[in-house]
Amino acid sequence: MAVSVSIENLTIRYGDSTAVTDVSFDIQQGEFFTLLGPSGCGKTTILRAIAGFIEPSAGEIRIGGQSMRGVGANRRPTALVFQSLALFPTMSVADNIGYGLRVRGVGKAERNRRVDELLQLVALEDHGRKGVNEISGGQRQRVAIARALAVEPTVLLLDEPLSALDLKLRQHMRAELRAIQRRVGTTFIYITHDQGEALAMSDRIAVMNAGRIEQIGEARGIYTRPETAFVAGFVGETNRVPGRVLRTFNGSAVLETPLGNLAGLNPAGLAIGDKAAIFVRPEALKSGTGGENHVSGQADTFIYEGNFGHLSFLVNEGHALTALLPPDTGAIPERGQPVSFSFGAGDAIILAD
Amino acid sequence: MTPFLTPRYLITAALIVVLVACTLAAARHVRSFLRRNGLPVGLFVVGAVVFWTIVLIVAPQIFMLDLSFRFNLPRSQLGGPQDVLTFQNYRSLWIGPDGQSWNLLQLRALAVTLAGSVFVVLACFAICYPIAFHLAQFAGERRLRLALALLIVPYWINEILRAFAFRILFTDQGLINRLLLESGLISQPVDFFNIEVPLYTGLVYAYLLFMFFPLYSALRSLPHEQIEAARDLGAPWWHIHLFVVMPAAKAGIASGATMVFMLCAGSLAIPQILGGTRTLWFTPIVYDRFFESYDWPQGAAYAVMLLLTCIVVVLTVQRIFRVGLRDVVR
Ligand SMILES: Nc1ncnc2c1ncn2[C@@H]1O[C@H](COP(=O)(O)OP(=O)(O)OP(=O)(O)O)[C@@H](O)[C@H]1O
Ligand SMILES: [Mg+2]
Repeated sequence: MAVSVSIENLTIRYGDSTAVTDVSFDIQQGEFFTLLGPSGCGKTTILRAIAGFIEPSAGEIRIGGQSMRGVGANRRPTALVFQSLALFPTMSVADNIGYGLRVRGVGKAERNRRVDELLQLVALEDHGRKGVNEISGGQRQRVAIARALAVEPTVLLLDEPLSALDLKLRQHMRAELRAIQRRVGTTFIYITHDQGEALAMSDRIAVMNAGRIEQIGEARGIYTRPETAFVAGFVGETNRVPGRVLRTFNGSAVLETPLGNLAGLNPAGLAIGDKAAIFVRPEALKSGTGGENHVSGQADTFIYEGNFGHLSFLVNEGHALTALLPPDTGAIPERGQPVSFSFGAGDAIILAD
Repeated sequence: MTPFLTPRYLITAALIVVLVACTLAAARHVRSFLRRNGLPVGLFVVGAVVFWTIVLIVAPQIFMLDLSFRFNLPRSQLGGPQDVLTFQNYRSLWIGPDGQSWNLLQLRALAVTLAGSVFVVLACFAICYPIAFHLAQFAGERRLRLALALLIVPYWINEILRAFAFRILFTDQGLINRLLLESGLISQPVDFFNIEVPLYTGLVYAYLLFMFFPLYSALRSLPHEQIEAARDLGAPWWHIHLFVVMPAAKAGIASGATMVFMLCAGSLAIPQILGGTRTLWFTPIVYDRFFESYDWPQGAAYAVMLLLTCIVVVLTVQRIFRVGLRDVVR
């Protein structure tokens, strides 16, 4: 597969403050690539730089092998779906979708044909003549996507396009968006701060923090093999226990923690004496004593979430851990009742803290 | 006949009755309004609105309208057998005093006034649009405040004073002619007044802000991302302005244009001060009816005609651009 977008050592400053620091990544043709990170980490800044609204302070952006330096936003093969959608309120749904074609001087008949196709693609066949304020939020979303797709961009950029929708619609639109992407085969760069959304939709995810990329990889890899403490903590729920490395042995290590010695993978190759933390997912905590690591304490709160439940429990002087209780769990422990859990060393990761 | 039974008073009385009836019909709203705002404030507002509409707006116009259909009689004959309704005052607008030939001068003045006002509207728009667009979409807080101050402060100077200052600027010995002479661009002073440069400059300058503020507030409410979206879709600048920004600012443009047009067509002082000897403007003619020939009925008729033609022009243009009255007052 060919590289569609290539970012090389991108740095972007606003006056004195640096919003994006030395970011590099390549995106393959037809890939669904997600930038995931907390608010203010520089996601929008990167996207706007790719779209051509911000000039990089340093580094290079290439699209289809072409450097985008000095190429105006209106001449780049990108299309941006704004967080606010930015539909034109003075135009109908069809005119919104056809705007990019009209700019390109596409004749009326051809334009109508393309607009009809796109309306069909986003399942809005009957709404072309309506005003953009006469349709629902989810429909507006789809109009914005169709409007961007109409110009047949090499890359479609989406800036948290689902954040304004309610949960149900958001989940529906995730699937919809993914299906549209498969059908058109365009490269998507998608921004979100919702890790669930990122995991559910993306081919690959770049996790960002404070203007830098922490890790790039497929959803499963990001979730099960975080490379930094930030990624481990930000993506998915996790238990974190800080400590100091006590022993290391081929790819694993033992950490000395307030909860006792805990063994886990050591992908970063930490050395004895390093300050570190061990991260273990709630679902890796099994009740009983099956795994290498044991933790026990008193049950605290139980949060019921339908198909499963989260149990917090307190170990030693108030250190709280959370375990995921599957639906077939028998009696839920009462608050204060002693509980004990264990987890395998292979399910825990020790990372520099 | 008692003067109170003349049509003039009857019409007014009928109007007051209608307005009071309307108020009573809206009594439910009035009552809830009074409840919400408290009796003293509520009564004051309702009273002020009624006083404003009847005494200050409707009644004078009714008197004018009525006056325009009457002969110019000496006071002793008012209400007498000769005080009957007539179209004579309106006819004299286009038929000359001999009752046969067209009154071309007055008709030309009316046409020039309308066309000139349209020109002033266009000029105001051309000047205000780039400034308003830049300030509304791109300027930072400080530049915005500075620019607004620079725009507003000159208008603290009285309009007449400003007009005379302009007159001085454009005379043979004025600053502009001297500069042009010094720079060698011309060898003879230009008679600007003859080509009506001061008149139009003065009119544009006088009504600039009436275009600027509606335009500015309309452009201010346009989300910047819409401009970016259009640009992202490949639109060149002119396309964005023509098809995204201006349609979005249509209401502001319409209300600014209407205001400037009406004020300009009704402007009296500026044509009188800054006009040349050949300048034709309709308002001085109206003024002459009132205060030179003391023919108030005729003056009233001319004023009514000016108002009517202006309204027709405004409504036609709004029709063409599909702007509703609702947009204009928004
Ligand atoms: N126009 C600007 N001028 C100055 N600083 C800015 C500007 N835009 C963004 N920043 C700063 O740059 C950093 C990154 O902003 P950015 O909008 O890229 O964040 P983000 O990851 O998109 O966040 P969010 O998820 O909240 O949208 C932030 O610290 C922000 O304060
Ligand atoms: Mg953002």
